[in-house]
Parts: sequence; C-alpha cells; structure tokens
Amino acid sequence: MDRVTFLTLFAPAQSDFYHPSCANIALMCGAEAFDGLKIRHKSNQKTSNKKQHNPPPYIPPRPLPNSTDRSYKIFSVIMSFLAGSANAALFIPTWHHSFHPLFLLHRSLSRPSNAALVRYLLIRGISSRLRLKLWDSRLPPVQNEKTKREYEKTCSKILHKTPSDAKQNRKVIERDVNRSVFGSVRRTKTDSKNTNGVIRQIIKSLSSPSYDRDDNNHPLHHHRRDSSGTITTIDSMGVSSTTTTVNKASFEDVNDYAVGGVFTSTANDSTRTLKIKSVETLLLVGSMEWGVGYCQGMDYVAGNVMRVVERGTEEDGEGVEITVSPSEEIRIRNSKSAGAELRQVPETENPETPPKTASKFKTVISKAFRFRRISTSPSSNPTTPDSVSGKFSPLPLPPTSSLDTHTTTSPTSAPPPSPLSPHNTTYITYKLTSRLFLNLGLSQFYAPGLHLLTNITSQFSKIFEIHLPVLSDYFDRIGVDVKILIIKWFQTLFIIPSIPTATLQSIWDVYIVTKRFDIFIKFGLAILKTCQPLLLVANLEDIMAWFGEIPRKVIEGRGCLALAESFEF
Amino acid sequence: MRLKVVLLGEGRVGKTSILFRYIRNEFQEKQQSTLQASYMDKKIKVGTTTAQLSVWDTAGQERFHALGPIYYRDADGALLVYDITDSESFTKVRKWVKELRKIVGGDINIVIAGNKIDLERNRQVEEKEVLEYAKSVGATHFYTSAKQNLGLEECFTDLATKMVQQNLTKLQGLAGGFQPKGGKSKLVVVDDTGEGKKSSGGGGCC
Repeated sequence: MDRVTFLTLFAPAQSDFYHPSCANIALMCGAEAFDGLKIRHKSNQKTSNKKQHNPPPYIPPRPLPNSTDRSYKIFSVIMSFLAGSANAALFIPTWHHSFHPLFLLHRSLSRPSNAALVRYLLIRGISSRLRLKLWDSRLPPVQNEKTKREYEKTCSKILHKTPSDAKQNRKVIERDVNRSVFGSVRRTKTDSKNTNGVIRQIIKSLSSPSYDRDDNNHPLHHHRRDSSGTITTIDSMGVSSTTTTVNKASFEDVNDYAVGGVFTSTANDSTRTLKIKSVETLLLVGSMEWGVGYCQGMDYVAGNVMRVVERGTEEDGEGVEITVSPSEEIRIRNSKSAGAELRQVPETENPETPPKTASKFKTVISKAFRFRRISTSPSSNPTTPDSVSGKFSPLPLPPTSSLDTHTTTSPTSAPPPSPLSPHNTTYITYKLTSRLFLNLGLSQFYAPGLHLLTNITSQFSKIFEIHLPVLSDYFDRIGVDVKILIIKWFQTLFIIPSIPTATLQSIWDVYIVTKRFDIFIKFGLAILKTCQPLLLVANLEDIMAWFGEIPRKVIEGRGCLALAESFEF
Repeated sequence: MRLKVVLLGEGRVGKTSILFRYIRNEFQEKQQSTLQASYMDKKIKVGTTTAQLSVWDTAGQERFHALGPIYYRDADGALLVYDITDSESFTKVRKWVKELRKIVGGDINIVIAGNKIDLERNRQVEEKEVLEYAKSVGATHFYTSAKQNLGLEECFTDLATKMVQQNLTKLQGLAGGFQPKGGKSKLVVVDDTGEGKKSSGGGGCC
C-alpha cells in the first residue's frame, strides 16, 4: 500500500477515519490530506527520506489503495512450490478438515485485506454452516454485549413497553417489516412491463390464489421432499419446480433464488413470528447505546443476517450453495437426504420408539459434539491464534464417511439439542447484527446524515468514470446520474432481490473478512461492465427499469464475482 | 420538451402511490417503502405543446433528506406532498421549500399537494395555514387522494403548464437573441430552431 487515499475511510471501524466529519474532510481535501495522518508503508518512507532534497514526483491521487498483501505473496510462494500454481489453494480437495483451504489460510485472517482468502471466498464460496462460523469468528464481540438472558429480558420489555424515544422508530420499523413480503420476491417499483423473465413468472406463481404463505403443509413451502423423491425446491421463496422452471436447479446449483424481500422463512416459523422476530432485532439494534435509530436498509441487513443464521443452523446442511468437488457433493447429498428424513421425526415420533442401537447412539454423540465445537464463540474464549485454529479446523460435516452412512441408516434418531438450534436464532441474529453495526461501521453507515453512503456513491461514480469511460459518457449524454441508479445497491449493500443469494453471500463474506466496502464497489462495477453492451443501446426508461430489476442471468454463477475480483483501484 | 419533476415529502405521505395512480392508474393498499428513486414517463399536452413529464419518486425517510440534491439538481418542477392527517409532514414541506429555493433558486416550480383527502375527518393540518403558506412562497396548493384518484390530474397539469410556460419564455429569450423577428404563433417550432440558430450563430462569430 503505497498511498493512503480516499478509501482509507473505509478502514476497520476502530480507526477514527470512520467518523463522518473526517470522511467529509477527506473527500474535500483529497488524498493528500491523509498522507500526514496515516502511517505510510516503511519502504515508502525510506525512499521519501532519501529524496528529501528533490521535489517528490507527482503521483496522481488514486481513489483506492492498491491491494497488495504480503501474506498472500508468501502464501502463494509456498503454494506454488507445493503444487506448481499460485492458485493451488483454490483447488485443494477437501479430503480432510486439516487440508481445508480455509484452515490453511486462517493464519493470515487477522490481516485487514487478505487477497488469498478473498479470492477463495469469491471464486469458490463456502457452505452456509461454515459461513456462520466465519462471521461469528470475524466479528469480535462488542462491549457490553447482552447475554441471552439479558437479551430476552430487554426483548420482552421493548415489545411490551417501548420507550418513548423508540416509539417513532418502532412505528416505521413495523411498517417496513409488515410491508415487505416475507419469503418471496419483492416486487420492485420500477418493474418494467416487458419483463417476461424469471421474476415475472415467480410473481405470478406467488400471487396465484392457491398459494397460502402461512400454510406449513403447502407443497410450495420451504424445502420439502415429496413422496416421489424429487426435491421440490428449497428456496425460502417457496416456488416449486412445477410452477416455474427456474428452481429445477437443485441444491448443487450455485444460484439459489431465495432472495426474497428481506427475510427467509423456515418450515418451523410462520410469517408472523418471523415478522415479530425481525421487529425485535431491529428495535434492539436501533436502540443500542450508540444510537443508530432506524434507517431504511437496516431491515435488509438484519434480514440477511437472519438468513445466514438460519441457514447456518439448519441441521441438514440444506443451505449449501456451492459447487464443490465430487466427494464433497456426495457428502452434501447424503447429509441432505438424512436431514430430510430427520426432519419428519417430530411428526411421527411416539413415546414407544425402539431402543437405539449403538451406532445410532454414536451418531447422536458425534452430532452433538459437532454442534458443541461449532458453538465455541469468541466471546467465551479470547481469540488467541490457537483458539482460532481450533474454531476453524472442524468442517461443517465431519469428513469420516461413517457418519454419513449412519445418519442415512438411522432416520429415527432425534436431533440432539444444540446451542445453535433454530429457537436460538433470534439471539444469534441480534448478536451478529449488533456486531456488524459496531465493528464494521454500519452504524456510521446508517447514521443520520448518511455521510458514508453519500461518500461511497460519489466514490463509485468516480471509479466508474475511470474504469468504464464509454458507459459513463453515455450516461452523461442521456442525462442520468449514475449515483441515482446505484444508490439502492449501496443503501442495502446489495441485498436486493435481483442478486442470487450465493453471490450475495460471497460478497458479504468478503466484506466481513476485509472489513472494507471495496468489494461492493468492485461488484457494482462488475455488474455494469458485464451489461455494458446492453446498457449502451438502451434509453433512459429502459435503463431505469434495468436498474430496478437487474436480470438475474447477468449475475448468475461466479463470473461476475471473478470479474469483481479482477478490479484494482 | 422534456420536463423533470421530483416528488418530495416525508415518508409514508403517499408519493409512490401518487406516482402509480397518476401514471398507471394503479393503487396498492400496502405500498412498500421506497428505497431507490424510481422514474416514470408520461406525455402530457399543454395547449399546443406536447411535453414529456419524467416524474422521479424519492425516498421520504428523514435520513434520506441528505440525498435530496442528486434528485432535484436539474429538476424543472417539484411536487411537495404532505399528509393532511399528519401535521409533521407539513413542517417537512416548509423545509423542502426553503432548501429548494436556496439550492436550486427561483427557477423551480413548486406545487404543494395535501394527500389523503379521503381521510378528511382525521385532518390535522389547518387549511388556512396551508393556503397562506403556499401563497407566500408562490406555490399552488391542491388536495389529492391517490386512493380515490382525486385531484391528481389537476395537480400535474398545473405544474406542467407552469413548467412549459417557463421553458418557453426561456427559449424565447434565447431565440430572441439570435432571431429578432421570432414568430410568436408557433412556439414549439421556435423551440427547435432556437437551439439550431444558437449553435450556428456561435460558429459564425468565430
């Protein structure tokens, strides 16, 4: 990193640069203002000392720092020695948990920008269970974090007797949450008349009178396996493959269409409880001591966290969204079928269940053990390097094949009570959301005035001009400001219906690992670059419609993510 | 002639509903909160002139006030909406007027719309106060209801007429500079030729 520039503002939240006033000053004075404030790279300092008598060469200010990471270089040297390719880490099969690339990479996790890990997250992605662990470990606990008991206490207090200052917030939150369509695709306001695509079909199928969202037994509802053995699609959006062809994609597909308005639903939760839950979370996060209050967009973030938590705590690994090596795929498949059967247990279980065999017992034990390992949260043990490695070493599923066979053969064994079981999700959601807001500076992002949001959009428009000059010129010509078009992307941090969940989560993973907003800018650029040919022939109305509802095909797969990764500022 | 109109006002006063009702004649009871500015086009005839209204809908929540300038920067007109059952929303209108006058200047045409007139019995904003205020800032005032489709046509037509007139006088001024014998009868034609003359005139000078 040779020069500290605008986006130092987006450095980890602990630094003072997060302060909106500081951000404004930086924006006004440009990159130069920051040089004196922030420590330069050592080598840079040396050269500048030597050349003191010469006027320093003019370096045009760059909008973003170069992301060069020494640890990545060291890592790539080792990897290229071992496997002959710098990208070897991405292709290591996961035979054993100690070989898992994430485990190999965790040593350098503490670095603010870790190119190798980012690459891994973007190009390959991680499973939803691993994601929850990653988020949990990367978001250090906040000061005065409430314990579960305290949380429940305040929760009931807030819900029954809202303090006067939060009343206005509550009104708005409830309105927003009530109006958002749970577990289904939001209909965007600028939906163009001529979209005959996926989204329209989905909307049609959802608005059909036969569909009842609260009906848990409905075949369209969240992941169910019907008698014929075909998996009707899992998406929390609840669209079955019979009504649309979209969701014929099974769980192997990277593109899971469960974006929904804001919140996902599971088979256990009705829409109502979900709504109550989310209102709770938002109220609590909003009323915390730093006083973010409530801002539109926060509901999206909380909803996404809830989704991550729910997916991560699902017992059967249903939410796995990545395409992986064949061996892992089989494992997912096994665990999935096992899970589907396990799920039916509470319905059919009667007190006279046959005594469990030794192998079944073993399964239960190992499952319980697995969950206990996962649940070691950083709040309980301080993050020493050892504990970190301990947290990362276990895979979402123990790699021994014995477990899989056992689970498949013992469908009647009841799942053990785990600390991450679904009824705990609200607390975990609250915990992660509050950490996100405190540690990653989202509280500043949504704070009154929206300085950071305004800054990031103007950053984007500048970078956009540099990287995509032709499109930028075209937008100028037809008289549209790119800031208007992209503000929604940043306001919700890309949690918008048009973006497939897998893609979205990958971006968020990177955001949480790097703790910087760079990735959002990069991804936005990638989308625009992919669609440049299309946008260059569209008129203003079409462009607005396009931005209102980005065609999913554009963002499908990992192509856009790879493109995003390639951008350097 | 392309005219840009922005809908401004506090959250949940019904800006999006107004837009949908006016342009598509649709109404949704549970309209979602607006996040992104959306945009819709409508052709409108004012006298002999056909104008294309591009109406921009904005997010109303207090915090998004800061983002206002990117929306109204080059707007020809603003429709400030308040909810007659919510006195706070009217105070917000005052704020918007001040801001617009300060930043955009006197050029922008302002129309104030008291929405949700169907809920007359819950009225909280005094009619007298509103009318006086509107007069004092040089704005027209209308009562509207997106739900029952009341007053919207009048409201937009009035705004469009104002904007068209303003634009025409501007163009006339421009055209007058280069074409002393400007035809008065065909204003629309003057509009087209005026621009052309301007560029050719500039070329001739150099």
